[in-house]
Amino acid sequence: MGAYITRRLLYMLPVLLGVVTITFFLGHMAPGDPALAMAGQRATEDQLESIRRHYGFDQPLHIQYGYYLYNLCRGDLGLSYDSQRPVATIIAERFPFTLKLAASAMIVAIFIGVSAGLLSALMPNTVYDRVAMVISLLGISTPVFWLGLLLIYFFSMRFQWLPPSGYGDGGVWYLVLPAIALGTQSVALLARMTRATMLEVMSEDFIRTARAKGASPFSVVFKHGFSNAVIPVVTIIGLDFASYLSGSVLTEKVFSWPGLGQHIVTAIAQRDFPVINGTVLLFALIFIAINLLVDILYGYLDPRIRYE
Amino acid sequence: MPELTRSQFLRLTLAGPLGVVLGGCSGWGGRRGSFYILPRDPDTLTMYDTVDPPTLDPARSWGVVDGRIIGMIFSNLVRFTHDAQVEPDLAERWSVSEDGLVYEFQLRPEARFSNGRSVVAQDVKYSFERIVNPDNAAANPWVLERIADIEMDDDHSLRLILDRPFAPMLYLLAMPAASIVPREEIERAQHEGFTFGERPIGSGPWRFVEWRRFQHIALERVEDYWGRSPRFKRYQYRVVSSHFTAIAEFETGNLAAIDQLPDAEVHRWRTHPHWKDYTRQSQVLATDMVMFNCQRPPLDRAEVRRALCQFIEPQLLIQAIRNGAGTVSAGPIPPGVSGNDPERAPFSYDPEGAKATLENSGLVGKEIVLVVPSEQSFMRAVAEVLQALWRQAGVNLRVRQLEWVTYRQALRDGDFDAGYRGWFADYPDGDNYLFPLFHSSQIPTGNTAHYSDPVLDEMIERSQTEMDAARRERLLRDANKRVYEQAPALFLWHRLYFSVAHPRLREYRYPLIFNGTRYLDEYFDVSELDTESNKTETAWARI
Repeated sequence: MGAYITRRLLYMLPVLLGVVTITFFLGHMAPGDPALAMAGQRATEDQLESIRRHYGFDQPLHIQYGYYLYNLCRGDLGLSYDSQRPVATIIAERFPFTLKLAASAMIVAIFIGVSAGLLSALMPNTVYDRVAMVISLLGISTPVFWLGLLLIYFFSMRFQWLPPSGYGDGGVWYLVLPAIALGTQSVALLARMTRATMLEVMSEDFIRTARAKGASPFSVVFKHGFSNAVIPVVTIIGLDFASYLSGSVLTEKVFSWPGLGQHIVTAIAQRDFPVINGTVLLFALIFIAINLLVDILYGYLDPRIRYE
Repeated sequence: MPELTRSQFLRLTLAGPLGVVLGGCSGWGGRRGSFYILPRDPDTLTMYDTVDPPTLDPARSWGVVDGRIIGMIFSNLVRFTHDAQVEPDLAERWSVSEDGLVYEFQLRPEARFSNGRSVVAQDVKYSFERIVNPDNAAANPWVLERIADIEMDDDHSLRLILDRPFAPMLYLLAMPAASIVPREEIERAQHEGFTFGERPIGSGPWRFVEWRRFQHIALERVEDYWGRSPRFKRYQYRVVSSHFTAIAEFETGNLAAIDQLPDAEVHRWRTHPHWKDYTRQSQVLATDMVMFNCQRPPLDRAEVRRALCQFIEPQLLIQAIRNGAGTVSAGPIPPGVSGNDPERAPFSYDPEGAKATLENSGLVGKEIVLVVPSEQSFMRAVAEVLQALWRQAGVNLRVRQLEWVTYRQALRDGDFDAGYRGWFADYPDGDNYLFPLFHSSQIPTGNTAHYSDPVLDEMIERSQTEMDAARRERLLRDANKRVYEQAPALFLWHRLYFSVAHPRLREYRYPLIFNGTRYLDEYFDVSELDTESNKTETAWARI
């Protein structure tokens, strides 16, 4: 296992270098002078030139890339062109918000999605099953911004139960609506996947054997059934969690959540290359790390899987 | 079928989320007044916009949001009133020499920065030099570039010597870039490794308290302020990313006012049986136009440009696209600003006459490109209307929607035939609508029409140096008329904002110019609150 993890971590390096290189060159190839984004509407050519000199935009691209890599190796992600603040500080400030929202949304998704899927699988072709599957279809087809506005309308404006937006004092009530809006996207998928795999597993011979041995219903469903059906569900959870951690722009916008998603959109519009590069690097790291975690988790969930 | 009962599973499925929701509900709730919800804190004025300003450093700021907050934290020699008039700020009095070259100011001896130090003439000199020094890469050095020298007699008197007369100079001194900053605080920020724009210190009526990025900026009033203090104790600027979410925040008592209702919401609020009384219309100094690229034939000919303007019925356009949030525009200068001629009407609606003019212009059957920024949906709507109208004359309009930086790049490069342009005033003077937009020296920075007209150039230059107000007004009107007649742009409308304020918010007015308010007079009227709410011991709901 140790050798496997080390090998996977080593594979990360060329992937990250590729991500950094592609992001850097794609960003700089996009039309629009970053100096224009920083200057007022009446900026003269001299003023733009002085901004270009100040930030090194007048250097050839490969030189800029060399400087960027050199600084990156020293752990320096650079300064934001827009706010003049260190990119590492910006990411450190914003990432906890993203993490909090992503984790809450995943909790909502796992709790509702997996429970609903289990229930559907255990009561197939009943009214409950059909209703649950229709609702899950609705959930997966509902745009998050629309669901977000509906939640705000009912729970904030009509019932006055929850705040409409923002992070406030960090209280849990600020998190409820965005977590539900974001998590609903995964609820549907998880419910359907859990139902399908559970139906398959519950018809296996070993389930019949467990029942014949007098195992309790709880033990049959969770110990023998669900533990064998969970691997595809874990894969979806891993992928969805990684994508939530990479910023949920629409949810963040509707609920004014101060996460990374909104920030990178703003950075792209402002041609704030250090912020774009640093954030994309973080997203790549997150995807790689979560994929690795999911792979390791497979081994624990299914003892037949071995890592060499 | 397993023996787990349905109710067991339902409990499992529903208990968790409900627990979270109900747990949350216990800590948050509004309090209804009548049709509205009472503000959560009567001592705090909470306003919003959709952007987190990049900086609060006057040297680096060029946006509306940062400019407004800078105006609250900092003082200038002079400042704008709500109606965009100039009034004394740090300078208690001033005089201007007859030739318009020397501005002499007497500073208030009682003026202090919020760190306790007196504001002296040396601070003015330092602040202005900081803006024009190219090493500092300031955003708007043009504001102060006409100042050739600054002389000081003592700590409280100074003279600004201009390199040439410039009639609207006092207006420039009220702009955010001309805010007075304390040198020691800027040096301290450099020394301690943060930027001054993150923790600004000025001599205005509000003191910076906290900035939670992408959440809020908190200010508190300076209790021993040397001038008139605000009535609110605290001010909070909230970043609410979507206007529609902001409306929900307003309706739940979390915001004191919505400065600018989204177009789609204007009708609902203006006709609402209760809210219509609290919905106001305000003029803002902004003009929307479609610039023609005057260097590209056949758009280099004024009669062709004028003909294209004659397909438009401005009032219909304003009603259809902006829900009435605009006034008809017959030139760049908006009403109430020097140089505006209220008598002049826009080009007559005459598509038949225009078609005849265009017939032999070389434009018929040709494709022209209109660049539009993607941020505002109404700009795309204008583009689509123009597409339909100009097609009547056989002119094919291709619309290129570009994000902001690419759009600005296209305008500067002249890579377009027509380009949408919204222009907000930096200062409330006709010159700000003529010189940057249409003077040939401003190609391609502000003059994105790439319009070169020596006659107009001379008119603008004369208006800049004319110090007699009446004569200057005539010169500006003539220049404005010249622009209108030559039609380097199709002028669409001057913007109006519809705002809505909390029913208990008093003295709230949207300022004519963006930094024309420091929120000194506004307050929540709580005098009859107990009678009206009649429900609670303390009527103010708090989180």
